[in-house]
Amino acid sequence: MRLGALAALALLVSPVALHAQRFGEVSFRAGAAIATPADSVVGGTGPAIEASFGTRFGSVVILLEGGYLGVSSDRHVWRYGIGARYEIGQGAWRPYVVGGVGGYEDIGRRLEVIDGYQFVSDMNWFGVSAGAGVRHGFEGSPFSLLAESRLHVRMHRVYPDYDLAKLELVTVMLGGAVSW
Amino acid sequence: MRPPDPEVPAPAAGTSLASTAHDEYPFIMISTGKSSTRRSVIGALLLLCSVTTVQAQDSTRSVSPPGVKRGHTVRLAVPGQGRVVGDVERIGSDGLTLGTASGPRTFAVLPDTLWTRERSVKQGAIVGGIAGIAGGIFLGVIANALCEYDCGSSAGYAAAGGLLVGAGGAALGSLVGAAIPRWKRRTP
Repeated sequence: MRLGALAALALLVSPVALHAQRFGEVSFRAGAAIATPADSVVGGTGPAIEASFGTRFGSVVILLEGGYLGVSSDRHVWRYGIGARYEIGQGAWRPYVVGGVGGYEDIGRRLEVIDGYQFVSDMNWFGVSAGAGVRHGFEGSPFSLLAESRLHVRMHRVYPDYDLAKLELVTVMLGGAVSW
Repeated sequence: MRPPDPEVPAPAAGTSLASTAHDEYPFIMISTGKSSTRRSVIGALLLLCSVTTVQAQDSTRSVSPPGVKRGHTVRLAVPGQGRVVGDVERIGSDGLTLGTASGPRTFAVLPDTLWTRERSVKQGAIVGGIAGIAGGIFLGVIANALCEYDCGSSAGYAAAGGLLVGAGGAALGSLVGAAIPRWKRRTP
């Protein structure tokens, strides 16, 4: 317990300058996906996992990313796209903002019961994501830790609601990255 | 290669790697000429000026390796020590200072070989472009084969597919290639 607290404190105060010249990274994140139910749209909270390949240009990392967002046992979302992360500062702890665009394959999005019959419908939608997080690096190590949260917004009109920009999902994730 | 000239001052500590450069300069011939006092004085003066020039050249060579800037990651081949990798922290009159895994190290003179760590953008674009063109042609031909009415020529579909997917593949390849490091030799 005491050792864990000391380790956590060491992480907090370590004055680390990350390696001067990194070109790429691979990261994996896991956490939860949250969707609010609306009309016949299935909502819930379920496990989520994502991976990304990044190319670093200074404080900016261009990301090719994809993942699985399991909203519920009925609704499963696969997402893929391209994004960018902008890191602030040069220390061990680097807050960042992140965003991206991509496709969402939304399986079991709608669940309707009509005259005793259950209808399940899938949908592919185009969306954007935006969020923020923090990355913690370790001196001389290619490994770093990530924590981030994003909003995923659908950017086209579909039945049963016709809002142009509709918040569909929220993800909260923890993960790690290895860079070179 | 001639034996060392007694009139040439011994190189300072840390500059031994460049000391052989003195032997390559023809001005030394003047100082080893006849025994005339005047010629010896002139020779000594010329030698003094020339040695200064050589040291200046060595210094320039050591502090300004081509294509190397602060923050770059470089790899050096150091005789007797193998290869040293580090980030350039400083390029000054005292040499090239690298931040290495074992701490900062300063090299007063440029070692035998120096590489810089570069991105593989061009290679990635070529690989991605070729793969994209091949895949695009294939998809174009498939799309034409699946077309049932009012279809254009198969060659048109293949060309359009190759062009579009090839361009996308090159863009994607260059992005991926930018994340893949390679060593580019800068000297010699």
